[in-house]
Amino acid sequence: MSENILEVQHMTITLYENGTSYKMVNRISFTVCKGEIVGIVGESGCGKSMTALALQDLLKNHIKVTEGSMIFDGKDLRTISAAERRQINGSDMTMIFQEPMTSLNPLHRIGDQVGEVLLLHGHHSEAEIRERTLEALQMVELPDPEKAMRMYPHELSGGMRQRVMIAMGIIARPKLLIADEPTTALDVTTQAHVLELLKRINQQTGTAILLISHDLGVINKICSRVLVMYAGKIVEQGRTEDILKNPVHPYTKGLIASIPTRRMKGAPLASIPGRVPPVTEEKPPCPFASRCDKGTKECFTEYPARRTISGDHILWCHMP
Amino acid sequence: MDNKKCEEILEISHVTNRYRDSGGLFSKAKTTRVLNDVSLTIHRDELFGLVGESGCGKSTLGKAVLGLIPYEGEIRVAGLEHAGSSRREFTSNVQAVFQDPLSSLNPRRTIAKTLEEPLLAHGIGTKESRRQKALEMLELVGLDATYADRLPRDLSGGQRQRVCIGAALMLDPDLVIADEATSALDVSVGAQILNLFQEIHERKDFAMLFISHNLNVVYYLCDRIAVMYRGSIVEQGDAESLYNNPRHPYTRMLLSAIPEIEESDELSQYSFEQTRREAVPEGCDFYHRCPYATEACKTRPGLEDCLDADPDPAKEAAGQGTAAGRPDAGRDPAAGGSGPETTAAAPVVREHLVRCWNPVK
Repeated sequence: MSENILEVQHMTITLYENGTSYKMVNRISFTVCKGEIVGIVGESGCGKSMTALALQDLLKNHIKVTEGSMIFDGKDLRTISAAERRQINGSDMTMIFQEPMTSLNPLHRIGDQVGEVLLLHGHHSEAEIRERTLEALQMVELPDPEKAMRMYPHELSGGMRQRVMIAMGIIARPKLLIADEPTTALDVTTQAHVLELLKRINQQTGTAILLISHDLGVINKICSRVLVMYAGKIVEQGRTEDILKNPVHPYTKGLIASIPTRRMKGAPLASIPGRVPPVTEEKPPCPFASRCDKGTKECFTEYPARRTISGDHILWCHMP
Repeated sequence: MDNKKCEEILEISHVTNRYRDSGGLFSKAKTTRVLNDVSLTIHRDELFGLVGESGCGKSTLGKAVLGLIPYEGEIRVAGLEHAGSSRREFTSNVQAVFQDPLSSLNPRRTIAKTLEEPLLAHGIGTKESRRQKALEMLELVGLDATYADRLPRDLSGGQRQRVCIGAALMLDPDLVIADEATSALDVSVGAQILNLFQEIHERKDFAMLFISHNLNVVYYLCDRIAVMYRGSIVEQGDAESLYNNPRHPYTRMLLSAIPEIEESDELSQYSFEQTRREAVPEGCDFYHRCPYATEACKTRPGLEDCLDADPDPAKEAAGQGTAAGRPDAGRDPAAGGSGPETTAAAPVVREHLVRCWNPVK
């Protein structure tokens, strides 16, 4: 459990636009242990998806990782060759996205699309591919997988399609599965089912999962640790339980308070005023300073130092 | 109606909507029922929530109320019916806010022009007075005059939704339909919009039909809630009573599926699988997903007959001490004779109705 499958050190992602460069993600460091489920939470535009895309080498041409290292399974993804990286992506490290319909080819049968992963990543016989496809579809609890293999994406419901995506993600038995908002487009009930499914896959296969979501409720369902991201920085991280019960950073507190729960009825929700600053905007050293109600002068002049609250619970904030 | 609170703003009685799939090269023509004898009433100034999964017909009901789709049955908004009144007269009474604010706004039109549009369409005011009203509305929805001449693309998602809400309120409608108005937004922005709804509701006089798939959000905002499953309302009642004591297994399932930050878990009992309608044509629609289903549920006719088979809901409401009011007029044909109709003094209707043979105790 203690060995890391992924170690990201001081990673910076830079956007080049009109001759200027902007930092989308600013020197973040985190680790994912083998078999662990880690969550990244934050509002849209705070750099969560960029982090995931960088790990998968899916960034657009004008966006680049400019600093730091991403060590996956002992290899630094920034220094290995493109061919090696292609071998890792899709087999050892896979990714599933929010909208399953746009990730599936409408003209190919489910079975062929799921099996294609194996076809591209190794020398498997046709019979073996078929068998493993069936196994993957069974694992994601698609009713009647034999039949599903012959179906087209349009014949499946949204939840079913997301399960097919998960099957594609796990068929190669990856060491790390990155799930970028996998349930955001789904109903609450389907969401609950997909989350249960991810947890079960994690327990059965030992695949580590990096789950990206803007919903702390979703994170709480399956993640053992969580990173709270804001405007390209990690502002607080720790065990999910600690973060939810004892949030310290004002941003984390704001995120938690803006979820309507049964106890909030009648009272106004404590929403965070303002919005995430666009990447192109100049930010103070503490990116949250301008929205923070407890901000001091220090927040605008000095980077907040890393502080340990207890054990894994780490904070980047000037406030005591 | 002597009591203003009790005035019915929206009366939906026995509304059914079906569409005919004419069939293609490989499929037979068939008729699908989207709404199944839906009846509900929303009173003046009331925040009414409608919850259900996607595809259950909640948005279809919203569209029917707006007059955007054909239906059988009767829908009255502030006493007016679609059939008997002009479109113009009707739309000044009911307005809508949709899920995706960007697609609801004209990208080439400035915010002020968007807000003036409803007034212009109804020929209200002069050019100056319309502009003035638009600026006042911006203020009300928490934006300032500097936004008036901007375009939708210059605004963030939350600000766009504020504009949509403003546009819906320009004509002072009696009823606002909010269809998943916060679902596409970030949690923190969604919270701002929910707060805005509450603020505006305190300052302005309108009723709202708030459609969402998240029971927590609906409970937070609304006075009364109806739960819809496959085109039928399966449970309806006062927000407190329904949320804290859900009787229908489906309502319980919706509640338990919400990922909470506080742990409360009874998930495992439920099968979140959607099944096809054909599964038990004779029985209850929820049969295949219900953990409490009995043999009887399999063969008894659908949910629509279940209400008065269970005498409990009425007792329940009384027992809860929530001022059992008069039964919702036209709520159910079979239950029509079951209650004395004349406690009009009760400020808000508070009964709790369940359509289930075997409601959870």
